[in-house]
Amino acid sequence: MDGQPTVDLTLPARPESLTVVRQALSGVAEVEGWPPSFLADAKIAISEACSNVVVHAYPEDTEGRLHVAMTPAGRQLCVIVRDYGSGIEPRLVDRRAGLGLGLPLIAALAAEVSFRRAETGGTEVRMVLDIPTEEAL
Amino acid sequence: VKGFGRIDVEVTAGPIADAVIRRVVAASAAQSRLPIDRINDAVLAADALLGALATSFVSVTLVPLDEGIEVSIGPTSDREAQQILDEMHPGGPGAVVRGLSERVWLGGDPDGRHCITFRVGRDDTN
Repeated sequence: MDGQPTVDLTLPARPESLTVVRQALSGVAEVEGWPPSFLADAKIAISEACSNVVVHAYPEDTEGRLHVAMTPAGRQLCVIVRDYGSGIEPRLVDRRAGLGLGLPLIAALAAEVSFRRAETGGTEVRMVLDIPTEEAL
Repeated sequence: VKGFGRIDVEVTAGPIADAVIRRVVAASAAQSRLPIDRINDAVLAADALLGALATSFVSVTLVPLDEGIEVSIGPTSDREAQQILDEMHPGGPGAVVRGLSERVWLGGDPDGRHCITFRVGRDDTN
């Protein structure tokens, strides 16, 4: 799943962009015929990764970009979410911090998750989600 | 390119492109304070152009305006783009896009890729 992504989005790192990402995912699900429960899980995992970019990747009052690539392949969906900002760093005090459930949630929903610092700056989250068959549900 | 709110989408051509672009255009247009009928205009115009393009992937750029949206769809050659816009028979892509948008024009990038851009709604940024 390292080839050209099926859907490649570059958006402003703003909360309203999450709606656009979720709609794009719904479009893929409609054509691929994914079970609704899988679509719901995928939306949660991808939204969490995108939210991390919106909230943590760029300093406050700074406009940044959010990049999302989706590649369905057989019974798996590979999603890459990346930013071009400071990346994920430990913070002693961050008043924008949430409950800290985002990354564990992604890890629970995805079959594989990896994080890497991109050479050009920013952080890339790569997740692979297993698409269940209707019979398996 | 106007505004930081720009959204760039590249999708493999085919049914997924149709489904994804339709939804992305609608979601972006909804953020531009357009009334529902004008959101539908933007979706229908994008649909008409998508159906006329003969490419292996589709590239779409959306620029939300204060009360409108600009949608650029490509890639295409300058000649093909003009042919698409010249299809003015009822239901033809040229007729649909010109009928549903305030403005249509051809654009290009430094790589020689061309696109068709249309605006639905107002542009108060100029």
